[in-house]
Amino acid sequence: MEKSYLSLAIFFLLGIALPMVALFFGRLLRPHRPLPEKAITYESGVDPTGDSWVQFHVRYYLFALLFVIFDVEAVFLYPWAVSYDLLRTEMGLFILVEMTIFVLFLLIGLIYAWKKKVLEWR
Amino acid sequence: MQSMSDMDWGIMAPEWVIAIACALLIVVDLFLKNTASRRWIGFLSLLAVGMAGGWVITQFRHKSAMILDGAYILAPYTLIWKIILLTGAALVLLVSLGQEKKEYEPHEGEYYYLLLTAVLGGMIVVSTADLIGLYTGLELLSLSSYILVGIQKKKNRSNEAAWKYVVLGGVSSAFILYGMSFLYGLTGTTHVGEIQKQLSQVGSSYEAYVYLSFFLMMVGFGFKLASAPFHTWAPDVYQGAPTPITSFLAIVSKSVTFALVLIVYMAYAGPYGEFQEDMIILFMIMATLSMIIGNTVALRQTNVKRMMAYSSIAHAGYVLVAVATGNQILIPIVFFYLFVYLFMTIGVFAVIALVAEQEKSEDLKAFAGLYHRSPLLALSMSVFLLSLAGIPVTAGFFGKFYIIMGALELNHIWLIAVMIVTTIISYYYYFAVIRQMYFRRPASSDPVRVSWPMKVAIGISLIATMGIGIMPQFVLETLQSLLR
Amino acid sequence: MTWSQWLPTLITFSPLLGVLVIWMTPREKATLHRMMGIWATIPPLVLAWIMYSQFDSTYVGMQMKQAITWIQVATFWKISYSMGVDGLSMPLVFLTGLISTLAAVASFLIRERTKQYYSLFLLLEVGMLGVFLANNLFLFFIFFEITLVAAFFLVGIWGYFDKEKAANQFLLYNGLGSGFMLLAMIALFRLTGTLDYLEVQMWMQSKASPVSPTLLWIIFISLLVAFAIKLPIFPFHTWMLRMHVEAPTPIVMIHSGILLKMGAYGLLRFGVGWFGAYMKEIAYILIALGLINILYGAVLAFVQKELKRVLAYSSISHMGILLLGIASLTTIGLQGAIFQAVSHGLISALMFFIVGSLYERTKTTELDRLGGLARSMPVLSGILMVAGLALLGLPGLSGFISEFLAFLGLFQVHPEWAAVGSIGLVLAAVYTLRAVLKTTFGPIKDQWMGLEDIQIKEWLPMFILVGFIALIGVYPKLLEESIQVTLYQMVSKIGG
Repeated sequence: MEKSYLSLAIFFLLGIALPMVALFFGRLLRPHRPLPEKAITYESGVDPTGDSWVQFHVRYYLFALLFVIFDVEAVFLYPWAVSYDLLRTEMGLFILVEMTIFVLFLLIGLIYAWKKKVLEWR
Repeated sequence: MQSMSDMDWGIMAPEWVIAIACALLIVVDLFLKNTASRRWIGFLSLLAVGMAGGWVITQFRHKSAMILDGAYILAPYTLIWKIILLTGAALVLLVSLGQEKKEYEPHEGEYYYLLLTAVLGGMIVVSTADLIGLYTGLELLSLSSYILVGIQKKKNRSNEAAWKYVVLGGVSSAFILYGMSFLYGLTGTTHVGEIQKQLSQVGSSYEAYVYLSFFLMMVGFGFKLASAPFHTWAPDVYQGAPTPITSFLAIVSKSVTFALVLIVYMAYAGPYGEFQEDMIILFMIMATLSMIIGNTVALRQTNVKRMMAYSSIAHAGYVLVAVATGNQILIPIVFFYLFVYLFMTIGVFAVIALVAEQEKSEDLKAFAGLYHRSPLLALSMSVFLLSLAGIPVTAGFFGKFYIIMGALELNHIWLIAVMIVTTIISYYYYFAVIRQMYFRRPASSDPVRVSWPMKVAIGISLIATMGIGIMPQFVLETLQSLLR
Repeated sequence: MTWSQWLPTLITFSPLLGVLVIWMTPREKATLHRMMGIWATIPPLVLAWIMYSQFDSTYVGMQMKQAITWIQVATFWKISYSMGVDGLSMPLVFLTGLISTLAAVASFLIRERTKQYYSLFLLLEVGMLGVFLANNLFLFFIFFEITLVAAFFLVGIWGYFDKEKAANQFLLYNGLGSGFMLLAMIALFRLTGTLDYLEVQMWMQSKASPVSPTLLWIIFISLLVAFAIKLPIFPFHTWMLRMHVEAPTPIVMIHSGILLKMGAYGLLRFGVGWFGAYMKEIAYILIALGLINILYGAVLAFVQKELKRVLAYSSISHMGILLLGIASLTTIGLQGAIFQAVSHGLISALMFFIVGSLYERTKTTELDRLGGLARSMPVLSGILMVAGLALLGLPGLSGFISEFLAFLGLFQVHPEWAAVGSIGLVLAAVYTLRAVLKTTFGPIKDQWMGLEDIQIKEWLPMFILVGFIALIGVYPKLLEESIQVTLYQMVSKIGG
């Protein structure tokens, strides 16, 4: 028990120390020549225009949410599929029924998104 | 271990009814024309709630059982909780159906089935003794209610309310989860019964963590209960939400949280240290603050829904007095109070909904001269308010009476004194509404239109409030005999 | 099981019959409501008379008792619905019936929302009768609260100018009082497991289980405060002044005639009946408070410029005499207290009725603006004179006998204080005569010349009241007989 906490503490210390050491030494080693261009936001060589506070279209979020839902579904389905044979011997058809219910509810969610025109980009 | 497919899934039937109804209604709503009326979805939801309720009643004959390793329990107390939740939901649905003009018109379908999912979440909470089950149920309830609060998309107040509710509700859920994680960390199990056993062995050597976990969870529950000092969201949210939803928050959400508190309480009920006493002190502080703050701040309110928000804070305090005693004897009394509170609160909100709809104002002045316009409505409202104020011979009086009797049993004299004094303070603001209704002249003389679902909802609440007031013993004894 | 067991219940709920009938009538028929309102108060009065004739004045304890278990919290905590009557409540029940009927007659002054008015009025009567006929503290409390709510509406809707403030103040003060009562009730229930008058009394004597005296003191003081507010005793009296000035005439008749007497009844029933020994220990304080009430009320009554306020302060003064009677804790003193309750109930009801009729005609009750009314309204002025004489305690009228008994009781134990208190009698004569003479005698103002005198619907109830005042004054045995046994038993328990 104590040992695991020790490694956790070392992890924390390292995490804090590493950037501090790197920045400190960098400061010592690098030349100091400030230019106005250096203070500009870096956008891959393009001159920055406008404010950095841009409002993204709300549809991005809807898509992101939909993505997350099906992402999680995949994460859940994958191990289930892999160990299906093993589980079936123990619990029988039950696990198939259970997963079907789960997928069914997700399906309703998909239909909902579809009917509410979330899948169309307008 | 029992095989999954051998389990008696039938005991979950009430939950299944709600879940299936909900799924079906979503699909139906989606394939319905946009212009079609969605009123009947509400009636179907009501039917589902009624069926689930009927099933719960038949289950009282079923002997206690549990499936999923205690993650789902069928016991008399879970059934009583469900009766409370389903009755509340049914009355809220009736009040919603009774509103003639709904500001959430384009989302009416969603409104009804989100109410169902919220109730489903509550039913899961009350029928589990597993931390995971508790948390998922609570989140299902909370997420549904966040949307319901903000369902009037075009209204600023509604948006503000939903926003505040989401943020503070999310924070409080995080607190609860964090507190639960300590319990799991200390005991290695999520089952409340197991936790209790483990804690009574190891609890004393990790006392700081036990305290910390309990404290964190109480902060979370304090938020959900809207008990002081975590009550600040309540007035804004209660004001901004559609009126039936406000009553839903005051009744169903609050009852569920009380169930949660009582279940979590079990986890700490093992014998070790002075923890028990400190736990009770924490509850007592919350109860006292809620009673004082709720009842005094309510005096200054001019918006009726805000006033009712503070009133509900105060009532959370009264129930906490019973909870604070930490005694099993008081469980039937908590049930009794919540039952009583359910009916009188629904009644008040139903009348508020009617008046606000007619007058386009939720101000206290909207009630001016209600007696001259609709005497029966004014009379019912007076009964509900008198009951909330705790004046005999109404149900509310006996609710308070039993709580005081129970608290006296355990010698909490100070709590009782605070309760009585704040109750008298509360007379002032409850009677403020009564004054408006009877003593002032109305702006217009046309009667308030009352649709038939409203009539049913108000009628049921009225009969229950008066009936329990005349035969309190019958109800309490029924509860006691069911729990035995 | 005899039929008389049902009498208390019947009396208490008989006004509800009237409420039902009135509800079935259309809203506009004010005259119909009036008739029904008056008729509805007749059954309780008649039943009270029957009860009085059935009353066995030699019987110790509650008669015509009926008890049905109502609420049972644990196996031994039981509250029953139990009603009954004894010597203490009998006169007050009759008084309630009588004054309610007369106040219903006086309600012709109420012109708007009559349907609602008579419903609430009858509800108030249910509450009042219930308070006196209840046989345990719980029922007492419930009926007490009913009177509170009903009176709140009656004052708030049909009162004069500052009615809402008066109703509010009434509600909050009395709410506070009932809060104290509730506290005491619950603590006592917890200790004894019963709230029945007799059972608690027996428990107080035996004290089967050891109880901390502090707790009992707290209970006693709570009860005392609750009824001190109602009576009202000196620092708690402000609400009552407002109530007297703002309430409509029939309600103020009831308020001053009966509602205040509920405080006295509570003090006798619970203070003396249950906590007699404790009462004895603080008798000095009660005597002091009583003297303050008498003198404070009397002095302020003397300087008031308005008739209603004079009467309000005189009520405080007279309640002081009542308190002295109770504080003496002798049979005669207690008898005086009950006499005073009944007699002052009759006299103040009469007084306020007269003032109400006066106000109807003159639209003012300021003493400076009145005067010489004997010329234009001889009948009213004559009755006012009689009422004034009764108020100041003229022998032959009920005021005299009650005050005499109260002071006699006190004289037996504390002659020096009785002497101080009797100054109040002199002052009473002064302020009453001042108020009465200022209204009736002297030069009449021109504007009062054409006033009509009172009609039959006014003078008939007034004459009935005068009749009863004189009857008790001349033949006190009528009242004395029924209360003797109960009081003897009460006093013997204290051991005084």
